[in-house]
Amino acid sequence: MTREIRVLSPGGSLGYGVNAASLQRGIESGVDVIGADSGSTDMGPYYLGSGRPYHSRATMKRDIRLLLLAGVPNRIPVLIGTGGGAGADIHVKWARAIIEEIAREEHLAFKLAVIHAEQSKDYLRSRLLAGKVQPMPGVPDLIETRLDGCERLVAQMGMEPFIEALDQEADVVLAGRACDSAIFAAFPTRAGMDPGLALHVGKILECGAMSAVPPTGRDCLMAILRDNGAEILAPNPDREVTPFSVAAHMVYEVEHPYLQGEPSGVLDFSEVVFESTDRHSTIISGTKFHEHAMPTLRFEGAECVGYRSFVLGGIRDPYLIQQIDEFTDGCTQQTMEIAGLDTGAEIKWILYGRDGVMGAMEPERDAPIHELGVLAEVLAPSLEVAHDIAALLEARMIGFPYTGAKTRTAHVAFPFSPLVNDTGPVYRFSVLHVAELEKASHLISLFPIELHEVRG
Amino acid sequence: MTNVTPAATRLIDLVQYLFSKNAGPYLITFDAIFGDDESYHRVCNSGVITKERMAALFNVPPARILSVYHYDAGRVIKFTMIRDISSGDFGDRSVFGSQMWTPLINLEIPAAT
Repeated sequence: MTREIRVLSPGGSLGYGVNAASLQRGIESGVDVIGADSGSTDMGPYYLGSGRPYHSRATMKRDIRLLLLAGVPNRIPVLIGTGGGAGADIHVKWARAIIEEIAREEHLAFKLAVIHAEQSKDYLRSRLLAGKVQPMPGVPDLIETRLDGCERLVAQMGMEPFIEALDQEADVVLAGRACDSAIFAAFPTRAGMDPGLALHVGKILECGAMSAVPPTGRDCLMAILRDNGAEILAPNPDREVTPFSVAAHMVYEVEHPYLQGEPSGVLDFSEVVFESTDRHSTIISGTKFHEHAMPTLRFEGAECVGYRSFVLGGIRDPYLIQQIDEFTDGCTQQTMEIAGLDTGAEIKWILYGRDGVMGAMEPERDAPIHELGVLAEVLAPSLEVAHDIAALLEARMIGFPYTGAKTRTAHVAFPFSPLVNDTGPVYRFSVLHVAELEKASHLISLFPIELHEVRG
Repeated sequence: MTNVTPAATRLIDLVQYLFSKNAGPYLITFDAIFGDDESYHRVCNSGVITKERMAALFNVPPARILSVYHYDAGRVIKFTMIRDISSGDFGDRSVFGSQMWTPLINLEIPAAT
């Protein structure tokens, strides 16, 4: 008899709203493990920097409830990666409270493993001083002061800490920052499946039904791993999985189409074979995995670069639109003159309707404009200063005397009262670097595991 | 009968999907995904999607175009640009790197030879 391991992914991001009907169909078809990716760097550095969760709490609670009710009573392990969106300790704590609240409400009892991904700066500093840290492409070299300036630092765990948690008989695993692939690869690898194939399956499942036709990240996807390949299928009968839909998705949001880095090596899809079945599914095989002599980990850190306030408005006046650069430059100049030169503030204008989306890359900047959306943003060393300068800017936007003005009223249509809005701190991913580890065992020891008996 | 030289075709009329997306916070990757082998190979062989051409089209220095790849199994042509401002930093205009692909719509692909 051919052994098989059946893995279910509820969608591209837990907390966006799981498709309950597809989840139910998947579970009824037989599932050995449920994996769920719950975060990313994709939403920008704010969540890691501020410690705030990315998703709505209500939707996250709904989604986790669906997974726990599908998994726990059926003795199917549930593995959640990058809890809370950014996967630092504060995010994991937020997600853990939701899990425990649901357990009480639903009277569920299980062993919960919480895996930490937040790191002290000392380990990365020691690897930096040893010359073992490389920036990701496009990222500046790491310098110690930038590391010191991070609000929080996480490392992206591979599958090893998940396997360790399963060895400790966890029924539910809540992990901090994790490689998406690891969440799905851990269980099949532990069960003896080929790790390269398991990681490849993880890469496909982490975006949910993005590998199906029609594609969407908001629906379930499953994989059945066997010794000679993995079958990818969609529980929702309205979707099918084709060789082309799987292959096309493998290049999604990555720089290289067939070489992808993992902590313990590099996945190589160059010789993967895709075969369609008569079950609206596709079988993949031939994934290669080139193991590193010494594993690596990707570290992520965010630093605060200042505080932002903004003014949003619209311009319909054709005479002002003709003079728009004179107007915005004049408003900036007068504001800075009144505020003084030592505020440390910076003003940027985004003009929607001209080049708001693409900036200097916009090829149709000179096309006719009948309406402009104007976003004036201020970055300053404190929110108080940012707010004050935005207020000065708003007053200029009302009354700046541009050449050929026909109007005596406010030049800009403002949609909001208050006119000045404060968004708070702005962050930057200042650490996005890969460190070669000192010892392979650090793949596990840098990610401490806590076990909790949850009694609902 | 006269021989008619087939006219150039716009890229948008040959692809199934065309989009941009972050590949991590410092990169934006552009994917042209084709629904049939003929269109895919026609664009691959046209030599239109190169580092130099993409740098000119997007008005960025050639060094900002990190890579161009063809991936036959997915019928994908992909190129990746280094951002001038990383995702979500002050001055960024697209946190997910989306909506940057539209200059590719009218890219002229010469007739297959």
